[in-house]
Amino acid sequence: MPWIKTIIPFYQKIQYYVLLTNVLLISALLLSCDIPEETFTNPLDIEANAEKGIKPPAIVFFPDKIETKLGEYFLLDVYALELDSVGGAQIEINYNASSLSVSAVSKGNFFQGGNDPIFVSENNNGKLVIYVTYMGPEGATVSGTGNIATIAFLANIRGKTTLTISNTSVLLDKDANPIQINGLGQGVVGAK
Amino acid sequence: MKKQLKYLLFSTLFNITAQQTSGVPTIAVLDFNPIGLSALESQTLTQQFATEISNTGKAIIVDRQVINEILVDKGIESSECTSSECISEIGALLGAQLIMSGVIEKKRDNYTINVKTFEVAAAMTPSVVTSLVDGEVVIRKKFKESSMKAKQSKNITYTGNVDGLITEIKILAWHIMGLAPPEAIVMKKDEEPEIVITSQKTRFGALIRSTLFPGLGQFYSERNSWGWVWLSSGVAVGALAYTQYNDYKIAFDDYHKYQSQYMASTNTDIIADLRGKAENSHNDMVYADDQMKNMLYAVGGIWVANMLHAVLTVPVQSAELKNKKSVDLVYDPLLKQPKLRFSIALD
Repeated sequence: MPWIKTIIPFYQKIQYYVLLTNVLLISALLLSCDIPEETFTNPLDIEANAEKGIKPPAIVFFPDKIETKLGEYFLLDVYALELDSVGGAQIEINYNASSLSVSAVSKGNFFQGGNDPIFVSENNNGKLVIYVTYMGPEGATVSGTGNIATIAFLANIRGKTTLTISNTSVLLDKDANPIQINGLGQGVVGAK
Repeated sequence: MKKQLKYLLFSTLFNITAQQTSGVPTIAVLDFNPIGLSALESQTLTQQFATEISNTGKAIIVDRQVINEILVDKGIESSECTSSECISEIGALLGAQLIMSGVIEKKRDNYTINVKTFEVAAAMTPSVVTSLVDGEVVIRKKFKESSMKAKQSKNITYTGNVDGLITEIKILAWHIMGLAPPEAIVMKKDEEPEIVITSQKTRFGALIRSTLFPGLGQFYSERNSWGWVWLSSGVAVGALAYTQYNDYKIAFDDYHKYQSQYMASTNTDIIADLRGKAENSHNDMVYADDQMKNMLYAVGGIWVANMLHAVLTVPVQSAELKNKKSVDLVYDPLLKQPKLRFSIALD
């Protein structure tokens, strides 16, 4: 049976191929099982904020990390976190005016209802101040978590820059009494 | 030299006369053209073939020495003599009715022999047509020399040792003469000692197979129960490892799904819910990964244990062979006599 003689060397080679495959398969199984690190960094996550020392009521950016490109616009929301009976707010945002420029500011959906609240923003050389308040004796109040404002920025230069919410920011109740702010978030923008 | 040639011519004429009187053809067997063999080997095999043709009693074989001397004298290689001119010339000189020539080719243990029989009478066609014109010979037509078609061609292929080849050549000689070979030759072919390479089962062979896959070495060693034990345990634990790997993959995918939903969500309640789900998936992933690693270590342990078992256990057949006597008295059916046999295990 000459065909057996042909098969034998092939079979002998196959042995080593199968062995190699087994080793590779097991190695692949071991190597493929990487365990990703648990990262919970949503800026609106109460638990994650508590770990960072930001406790409600707080004002934060959402998202708090943005990757963009030079010359591109991006949106950043200013969020109220777990507020209780707020009738108005004055939020002061500091940013590097050479890195970023504000192109637009629009009202978010947090201050809704009652008599239509006043929404005003002032942008002046790296300082953006947003005023939002219900007017008059029938002015309503809002509670919970929500978007106060959306800011459109333009990245002017490459690199990382930080935006902060100043501690001079103020939250007022319906009687214009200040409400304690326990946490102020910050945002990081990376432009490539 | 001329005297020798005259003697040869005389002897061939004598042969022709003898053949004409006896009614058996005279055959000149030219040396087979060797491919992959030496000329000496080819000559020996041709001699065996010619002798066997002679043994059939149905032909008179021209002496090989006479053939060689004529070929040398004419400056012709035996393998080149296939044209009608050559065959008619050589045939006439040798006084042969038939000329046999052939090719023997060897490729490793494979032999191919092709023998062709040429009829000298058929080759005796005129090469030129002449006539006498005014007392001078004038060539009127010259025929083109062409390769002659064989009267008969036989082809055999054989795989094996040289002893068997000689038997095959003898059988071919009988067949080419249109005769059945005698029973003695046929029986010799059947009794040809067959070399059977029996691979003795060794511990190393078992180890190699068990390294390949658990249990294979034990099957090789004829320890089938152990083979099944190792094979099934290896497969079972391997399957469990694979199940855990699947669980890991599911948990991994879930974790990334919940994680991306968590990062995109702006509702604190949903964020808390998604975070909880992502944490659970992460825990499942870690658990499945740990389990899978444990199972894989178990598979590795089984694999190594099976290899050790294979190498420590003596293969069954090997043990039997080791119990065999190295010297024993046996009966040889060929020689029809008892003889002492001595064997040495080569492991």
